[in-house]
Amino acid sequence: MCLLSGSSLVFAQQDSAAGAIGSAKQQLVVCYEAAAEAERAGGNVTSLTAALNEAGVLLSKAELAYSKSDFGAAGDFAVQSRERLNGFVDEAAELKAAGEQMRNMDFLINIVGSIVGTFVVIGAGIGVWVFLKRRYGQAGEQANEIPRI
Amino acid sequence: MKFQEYKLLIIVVTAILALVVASPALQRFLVYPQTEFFTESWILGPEHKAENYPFNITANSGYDVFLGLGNHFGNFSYYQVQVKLRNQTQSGADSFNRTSSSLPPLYSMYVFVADNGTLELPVSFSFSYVSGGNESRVDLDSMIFNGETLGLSGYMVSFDSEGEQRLVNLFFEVWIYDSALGGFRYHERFVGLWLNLQ
Repeated sequence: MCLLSGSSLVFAQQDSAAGAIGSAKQQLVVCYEAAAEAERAGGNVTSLTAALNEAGVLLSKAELAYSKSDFGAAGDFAVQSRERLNGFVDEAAELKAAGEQMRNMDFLINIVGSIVGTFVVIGAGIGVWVFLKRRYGQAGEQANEIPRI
Repeated sequence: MKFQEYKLLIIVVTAILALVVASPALQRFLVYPQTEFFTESWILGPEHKAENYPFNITANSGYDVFLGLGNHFGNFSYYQVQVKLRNQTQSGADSFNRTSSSLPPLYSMYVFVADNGTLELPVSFSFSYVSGGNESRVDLDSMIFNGETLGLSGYMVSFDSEGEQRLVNLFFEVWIYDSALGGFRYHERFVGLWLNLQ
């Protein structure tokens, strides 16, 4: 009877650990995709990468403990891995929004500003050209009008 | 100075200024697009250099190397690095056929690397085995890998054909997460070290 209840406890722990590991793996994938989106939007993902790598280490430990039939430790590590990623998706979304804003700003300054600036420089060059041409043209005409004695 | 003499100066100054101001926009269009997408992997020795790799191993002594991953895949990547061990007769990863080893991993590391980023993982390991000196076969007991004990029961190493070395290959296969697949696939990258158990 004791043996039976002991083995059913082990099976329950095994199931629980397997579930926790599966859930931690899924959470890693969800967070990875959120981080990838943030990076594509131009966000700085340094802090996200560090958090994911820490969660990855905990998942590795969970899997190893599971392979050694240490289901209690496996479950604990898997839960820690998940907990390490609490609030991750929200942080990734914020970084994505910041990245998009920075990208828009960058586009405005570097592309629009640069193109407008180029036209301004060319316009100024033409203006200087016209100004100097008129000035020297008038000076030339005045020089031609000076009567010779 | 007459207008004729200013002509060239105006053109040159305007052209240079226009190029300088236009350069941020130009660089977006003139940069050659990335055409090769890959991941690089490497192992460095204990001094963070490509030298002094451990080779002659004694039982229960610790050795350190660095495992590096460089992501030039064009996006944020999720890798699984499978740690495997084999002797000379067991299957290894194959560069020509681009296949992974059929051996089960002893340990899996889950790592994330940003686009154009690198990651270096410190790796420390030691092997526990009993060596009879001239005995041709060594049965491995366990390995300590980054502080984790990995069971190696069933792993055995024999002298090579010259009868001089008992070689094991500690190698790292790089697998990459494929969103379409919903899992990891072998990324055709591996690095490893041949170690002589003394």
